[in-house]
Amino acid sequence: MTEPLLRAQGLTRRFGGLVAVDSVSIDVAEGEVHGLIGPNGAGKTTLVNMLTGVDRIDDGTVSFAGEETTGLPSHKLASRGIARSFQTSQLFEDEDVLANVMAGRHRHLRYRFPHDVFYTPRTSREEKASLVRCAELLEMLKLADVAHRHVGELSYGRRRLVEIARALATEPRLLVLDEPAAGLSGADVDLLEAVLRDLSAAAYTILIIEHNIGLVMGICDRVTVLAEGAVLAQGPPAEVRVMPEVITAYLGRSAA
Amino acid sequence: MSTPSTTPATPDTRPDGPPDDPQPPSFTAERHVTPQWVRWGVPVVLGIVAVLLPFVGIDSAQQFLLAYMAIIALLAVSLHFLMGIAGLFSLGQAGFFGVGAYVGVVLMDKLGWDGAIALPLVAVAGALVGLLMAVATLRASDLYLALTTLAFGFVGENVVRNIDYLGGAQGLAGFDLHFFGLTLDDPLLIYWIGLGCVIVFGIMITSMRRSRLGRALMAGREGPIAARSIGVDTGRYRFLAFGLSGAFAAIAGSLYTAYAYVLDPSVFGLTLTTTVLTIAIVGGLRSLPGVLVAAIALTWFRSAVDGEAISEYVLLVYAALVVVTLLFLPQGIGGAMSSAWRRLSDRKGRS
Repeated sequence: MTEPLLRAQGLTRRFGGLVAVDSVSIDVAEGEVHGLIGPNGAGKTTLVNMLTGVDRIDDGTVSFAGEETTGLPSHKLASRGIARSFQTSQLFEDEDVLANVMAGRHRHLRYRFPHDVFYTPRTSREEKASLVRCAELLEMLKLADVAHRHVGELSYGRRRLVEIARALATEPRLLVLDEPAAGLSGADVDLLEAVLRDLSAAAYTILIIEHNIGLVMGICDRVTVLAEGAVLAQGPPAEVRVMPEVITAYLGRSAA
Repeated sequence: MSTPSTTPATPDTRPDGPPDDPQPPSFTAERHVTPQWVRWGVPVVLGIVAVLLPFVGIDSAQQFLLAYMAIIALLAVSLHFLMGIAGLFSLGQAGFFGVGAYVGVVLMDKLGWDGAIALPLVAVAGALVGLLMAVATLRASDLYLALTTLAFGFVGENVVRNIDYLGGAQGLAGFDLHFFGLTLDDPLLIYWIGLGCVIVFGIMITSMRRSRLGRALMAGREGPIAARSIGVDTGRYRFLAFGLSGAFAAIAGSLYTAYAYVLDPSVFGLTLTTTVLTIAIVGGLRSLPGVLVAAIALTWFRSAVDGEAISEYVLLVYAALVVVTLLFLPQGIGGAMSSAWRRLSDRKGRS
């Protein structure tokens, strides 16, 4: 078995006396769609924040693509190929959709000084190639018609899609999505599911936090269940969903 | 290369779209396709007019006004870049300006170096002060950031006040400055140098906004967490913004010394900071043309009322202008100009 793309071991995060994430280990293999589920307050977002360099790691190690990356800041992880979306949307509010997505091309534009300070033919060439790629992404996420609208004017669902488009524009090796379907309408969830299936078919590696169990069961190859900061179960979704301890965590003891 | 070898095949994701036909982007980088002649022609023509303006036969007072306009415009553009583009709320422009003024005098007058060598060094000095400011404000934002940058001006003012070599509180007067061998007391020479700097800086800012660097600054301004999540090292771009802004503001300070012929610690003062802040807000923080228009208009106003009773109340007028702008034109003159242009081109597009 080859080394997983992302391997986290014994990750721990404490907030004062509260242990939000308690010695969690998780592997995400290249090409898989890995679901991260669990009741509210289980520590899913904290775990993802640690994996993407947004939050501190108190204990434990992370390696990505075979290299130790524990404690690297998020921009360094992003330039190694980890892109993410946020639970509460983090868009560049005063800009249009296209500018938001184009910003995601940052690490792929090869030109440097003087081409970035004086717009040269080389700048123009690379910018055009980037624009073509962003156009593809916007088409894929059905955002082309709003390319020049300010993100603030968009519906909640489409804002989430802009965030995914921006993350995809970085051409990530690992795409981390924090509750992408939360607050989406039925039609938008269907679109999201179709997009995630396409990405999965194109061998993208995805780690997804999601509450929509239908979506998780539909697209994930494996899931990790967190409860009270610790791993409760890990495995293919069909197996995990029938485990008694998972049912207990979700529905309470009496239902088990 | 860390890019995945496979990217999603676009046609498959659009079941209704034309199959297998590689689609060119159905839109362009800008919202409204401004014709090429407008995008390039208008600035080029205005630039040429500005360069040739002194030849229409203007008197000495008008020459000095032009020189002063160029200096203030340069300083205002440096604030436009730092605050409008990079989103760093600075009250420290007078700090850069003062450092530039004093470094310029030491290099060009005391040491007798030619401006061709000295002005680039002044820019370096301004950039260094900018980097220092970036270090000092590394963890500050918004009001704390503004207050820390404001402190730099006060520090500068009090340092030079206590150094006899720099003239102390009385300051210095009567300089012998040169630029490429020419005596730098000709207001037109000052005007052309200042105008040249404005043009170069303007080209840089415009280019940046359409490229990688400008988008990185935008990302850091609009959302630092999101910016880092797409690989933008926000701290590094903050250094760049402070450094570049400081370099050009310092050159403006040096030119001001040549223009005023006297130099005292008041160049670090709050009046100057307030003036350029007014220009930036009235012009529209994000708009280079707007800031230039406001710089010209407000400098002209100030000189037109010179000697009149109202000149006592110039700052009061500025304050009123800021309030009126924020109430009725939150995007400033620049925002009003671009929305007027958009309406005009929409109308033309429809007919």
